[in-house]
Amino acid sequence: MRGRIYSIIVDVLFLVILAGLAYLQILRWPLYHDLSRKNHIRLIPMPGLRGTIYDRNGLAIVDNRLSFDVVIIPQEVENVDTTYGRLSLALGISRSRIESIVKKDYTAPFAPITIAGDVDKDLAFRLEEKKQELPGVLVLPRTLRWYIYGERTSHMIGYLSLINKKELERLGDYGYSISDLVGRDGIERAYDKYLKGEDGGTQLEVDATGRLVKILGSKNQKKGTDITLTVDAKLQAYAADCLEGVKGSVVIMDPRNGEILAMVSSPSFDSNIFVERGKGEQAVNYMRSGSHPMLNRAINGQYPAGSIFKIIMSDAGLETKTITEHSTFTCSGKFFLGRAEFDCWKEGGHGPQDLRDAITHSCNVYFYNLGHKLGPNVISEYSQKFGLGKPTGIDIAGESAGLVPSPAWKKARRGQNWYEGETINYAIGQGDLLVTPLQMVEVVSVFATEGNAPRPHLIKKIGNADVQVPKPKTIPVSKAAIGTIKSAMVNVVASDTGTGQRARIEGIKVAAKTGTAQTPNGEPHAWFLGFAPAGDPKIAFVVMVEHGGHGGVTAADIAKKILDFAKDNTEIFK
Amino acid sequence: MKNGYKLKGEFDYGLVLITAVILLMGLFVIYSASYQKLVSSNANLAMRQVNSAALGLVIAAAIFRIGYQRIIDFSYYIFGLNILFLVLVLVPGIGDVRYGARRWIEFGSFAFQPSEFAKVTFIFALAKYLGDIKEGIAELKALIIPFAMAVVPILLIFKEPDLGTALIFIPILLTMLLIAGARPKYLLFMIGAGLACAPFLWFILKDYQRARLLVFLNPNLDPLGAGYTIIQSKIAIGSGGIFGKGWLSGTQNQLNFLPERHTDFIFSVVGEEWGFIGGALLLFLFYRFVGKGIRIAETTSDTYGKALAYGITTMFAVHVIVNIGMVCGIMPVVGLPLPFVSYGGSFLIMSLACVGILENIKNKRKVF
Repeated sequence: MRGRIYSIIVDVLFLVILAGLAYLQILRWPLYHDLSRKNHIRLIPMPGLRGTIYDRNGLAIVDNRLSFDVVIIPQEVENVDTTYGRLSLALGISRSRIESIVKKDYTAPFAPITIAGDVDKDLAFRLEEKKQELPGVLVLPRTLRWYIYGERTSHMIGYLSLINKKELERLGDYGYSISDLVGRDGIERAYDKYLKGEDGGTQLEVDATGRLVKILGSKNQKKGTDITLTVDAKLQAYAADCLEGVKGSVVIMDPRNGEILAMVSSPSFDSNIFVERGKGEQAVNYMRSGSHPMLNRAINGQYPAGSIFKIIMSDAGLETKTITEHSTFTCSGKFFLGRAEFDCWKEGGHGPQDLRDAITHSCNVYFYNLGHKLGPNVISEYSQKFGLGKPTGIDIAGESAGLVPSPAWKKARRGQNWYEGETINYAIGQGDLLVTPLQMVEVVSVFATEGNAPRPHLIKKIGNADVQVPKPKTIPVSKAAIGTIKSAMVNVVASDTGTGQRARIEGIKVAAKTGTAQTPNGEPHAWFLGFAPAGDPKIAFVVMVEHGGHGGVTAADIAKKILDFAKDNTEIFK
Repeated sequence: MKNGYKLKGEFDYGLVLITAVILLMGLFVIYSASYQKLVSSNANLAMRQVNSAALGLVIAAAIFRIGYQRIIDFSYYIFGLNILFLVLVLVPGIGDVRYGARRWIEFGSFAFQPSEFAKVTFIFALAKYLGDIKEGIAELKALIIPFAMAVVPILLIFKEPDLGTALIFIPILLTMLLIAGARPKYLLFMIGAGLACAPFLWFILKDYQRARLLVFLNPNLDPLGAGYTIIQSKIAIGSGGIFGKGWLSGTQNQLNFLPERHTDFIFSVVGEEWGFIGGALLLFLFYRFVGKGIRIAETTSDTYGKALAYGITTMFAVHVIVNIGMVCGIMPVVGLPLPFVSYGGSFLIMSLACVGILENIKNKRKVF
């Protein structure tokens, strides 16, 4: 009995559904058929906007700008001959080119085909005015990524390009589609999932002449999350200008928390090229260029450290009690190891030098002696302690690890024994040792903060939320040793015999170290690193100029210009 | 076999055939509904659905072999375990948030929705209770435990939030109680009490759930927002007409204007591309499916099996009626997938397992 009632209820409900279906599909078919008829429905896609990227002071570094595309809706083109003819005239592209684009990109009669992208604004308006005469031709607004600082921020920011097949397989489930631009390199890549917006679109009902009757539905596009960087855009731009025409990089960081204030690599490329149509050739040129403009030298360039390595050597000497701050070696300009002779950069020598003198004058002989006493294993140990040989963990991809050699490494890697002479070279940052500018800014931060190594990072806020940054690592160093080296680094700039005196800044005490790294071919690389103000460091910096000659000249000059600018034009020292 | 019957080996080939046809239709529709996805991002949802179906088939066969009676013995524990999973889903870090709801638990690359399985484990637990208590169900106090058994998963699933899945426990509970012999006046009292509480429910609904109910009353209230899907769905189905626009040719579908069209709104693709003929055929197959379920329930002599079969049948019937009613604009949008047709692994596996259970009940119907 109850089963019977149940069956009846089920029967009735199924009948109601069937009736509903019949009502929609048979009785109301004319209405809905009309609404969905292909030539009365138009889809206007609205691609999602990427989030804006701001600098630490709220200046936009990367934004979106409006551009106009000329598109054809095939089914609405009344007269192919006149339409193509007129378009060809207006756009300055040949008729056959238009025909081939339409043929290639055709998907459906109502789906727009882009004939020309990012056209001139005046042309867009002229076409828009004449749209009655050219049925089927539309001007659609579109937003393009706009890298406001162009070449000056490209390495840090990265660029966009079309998603590739492999990425699509991985990201397809997260709402990426084949026409999406995805971030390559830098911030655009590292924070792509936040920056990416969501596509939307509007479905319109139009009459036979293509005029809007009503909006049937629309899905709003969404803008991605805005991102605030730790970078000071003005300082970044200025630093980039200072590197114009040379190969090299500059990294400026707040040593207290790891916030990167500027990070420049030169030569650079223009991220805008990858967004604009028809600039593909220029992009290919970048990739092929012998000067490697796409290489981010600040994080990816690996160089011998040269004399800037001496600050690590000094710490190793003091902490292992191999020397005291008063230990003295006499520099005659030469150091002999068996029959081999190692030169100081100063012919004739520096005479007797204690540690402070040796750092101030960057005396090689002093460090040859020290290195000889320490041996390669201790030097490697201290290099690693300061973070060399592995990436710093900055929040963008592509960082190099550098290389910290040791006898064990050499045996394992090359199957060769370590020569004593290599130790002598090692002591002044030459030989197999390789460092990146970013690693060195972290090294110098340890001296600035007397023992803290922050994690370098570029991101400050995602949307309105502050980003949690790992606490600075505490490096086990003796404060006394660091203090001694710091005072010597002040002398490098302040002393009249210091190698870095060109970097003196009025009103701010700078602590620094110069470096001139020999290379097998060409001029040596010039290094200059340091922090300021020496008493209460607010910035740590590294300037690196490939084949720039003496660090005390080329690199120090650039550092001085940047520090002067920072003092007068930014909030950093305030 | 007049007057005689086999003790064992009865098998409803018709039920399996109907299931297979619906499943096959579903694969074609999913392929079409996700065709743009396939073209643009290479995500072959139909192929993934085939994999789920294969797994579901294995599980259905396993359940058929094990036998529902053995599962009934453990059903309280299984139900308890399922409740535990429903709690875990709500724990941040364990439950996976997708589309704004916390419904999934992930194991490596495999994710499942405990709420889908809760429907069946609840039916099993309730069947055990009803079979144990027999005639005692006529007492009012006997209704307390079933009521409590339903409220716990309802509240947990409601919290995810998944309104559709939470609400389906109610018709299943009422049907199983009614068939087991509960007094209709008590059940009517329960319904009345529930309706009396409904206005309070309004306040705990999420904004979008309220919007959906209001939009159901008048879709043009918010044509670009909450009413959008239902308007698009009606245009799709209505424009399909009698014969449909043909497979892969539905403009509403292929234009990406139907959100969730491979899951809850899959029937709108059926309606648009296969027309009234295809839609009515699918509806008829579901009607036959439900009829077979009722028949199996009615012809078993085992009280447990009967309760179980009614519970499962009701679950399918509600899914079909609410889902198709929803996409046609006859019912509010409450997110219930269409059995064997909507894309989704957990639900498909669970549905196939249920067919295995129905077959097993039929198979053993006269053993007792």
